[in-house]
Amino acid sequence: MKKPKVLILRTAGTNCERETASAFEMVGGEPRLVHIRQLRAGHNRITDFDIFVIPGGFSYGDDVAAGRILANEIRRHLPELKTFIRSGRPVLGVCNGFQALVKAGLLPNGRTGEQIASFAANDSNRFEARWTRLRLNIQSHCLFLKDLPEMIELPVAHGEGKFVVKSPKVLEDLKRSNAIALQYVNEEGNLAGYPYNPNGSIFNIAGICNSEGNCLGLMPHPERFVTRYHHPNWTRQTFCKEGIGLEMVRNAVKHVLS
Amino acid sequence: MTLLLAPAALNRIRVQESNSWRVEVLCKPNLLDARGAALRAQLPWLGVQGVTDVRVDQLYRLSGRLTQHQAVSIAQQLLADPITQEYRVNGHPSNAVPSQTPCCRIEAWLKTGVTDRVGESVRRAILDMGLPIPEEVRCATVYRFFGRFVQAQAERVAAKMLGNPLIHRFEISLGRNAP
Repeated sequence: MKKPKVLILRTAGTNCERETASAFEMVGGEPRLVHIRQLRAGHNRITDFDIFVIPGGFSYGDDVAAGRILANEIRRHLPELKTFIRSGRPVLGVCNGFQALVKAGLLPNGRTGEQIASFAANDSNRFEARWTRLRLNIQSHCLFLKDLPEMIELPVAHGEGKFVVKSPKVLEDLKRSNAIALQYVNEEGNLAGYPYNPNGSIFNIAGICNSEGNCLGLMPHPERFVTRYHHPNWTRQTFCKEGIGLEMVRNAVKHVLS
Repeated sequence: MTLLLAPAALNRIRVQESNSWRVEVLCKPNLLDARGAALRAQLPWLGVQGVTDVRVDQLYRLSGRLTQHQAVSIAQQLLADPITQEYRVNGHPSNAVPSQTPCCRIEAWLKTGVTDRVGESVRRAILDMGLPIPEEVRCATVYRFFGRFVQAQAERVAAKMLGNPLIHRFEISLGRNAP
């Protein structure tokens, strides 16, 4: 069977590309690390791939703001990414990748290209690097989250992860369209403040998916939970046989194969 | 001694002056300024009691052959986030005017000769936008203090909290001189 080709975008400062590639390899994908310069120079074409991933890291040192320079580069030099998303192929943005997708106007709604959301510094003014509890939106059409349990855990690692929206209307639209894919919650599955919400995101938003369900951006790192041994409590927990992050990337590979 | 300059030379000086743009990027007033809040919470450790609020903003100085329109484009599309921030170019607001005047303003710049990493990234990003690359971009952090603050306290806070005196230089303005 032909393996789905996964483009994992690299640029100065990305640092989660190898873990991401490894996760896709584990579920039968054929990952390839491609530097943005190779795409800009035409040595590689986005459309030759089945899945597109912007991994986590600190693109361009987070200079100016997290993901800002990469977002501008994508907006100006990779217009075909918009077409790629429209074609229904899976697109994943993790942490810094999520920030870049939102700032490039490709999420939550990539049709207009207008930036309607952004990120601010964590309310705690600290770099939050720890595990978080998340609740999935079971009504979401997101292909990455198919058949996953409603309550999951994933690690976050960011200093600028507070999701903010342009206006209250944007938040209402996100709720109505089931674009909110993941939210930070407490042990009971309820929305709660710090430390459950590590950054002060509005409505505890941790991940957003487009209305077509093929483009997901999230602050937590799925590639850091691909075996049960990654979980800090793996000797005691019995709720999952393998990492939730692996299930997420497997869903993308399955989607392409189907 | 009077220095006489030909009109053409004066014009050259004016052009040179107008080609240095100060872009100030401010956190929108309705949003929590997490850095400012954290800084304010730490001030009593240095014996500073009268400060009621602190705002932390970014300041960029772009030097080179850029028109006003280009400087505004850079502020709008690159330096300021349209959702969380506002900007001023050479003091002219987009719609950004601080609602109250701070009692003290401290700018922390990297000293001449110290590589400005953010400035270099901004230069490359400007080139990427298809605009003329500025000769130099320097970046500073601006701290605005509201409440009571005296010169000695400002100097102590700058040296102990706002940077490393080995690589940073501080410009402190107090009272009416602190926009």
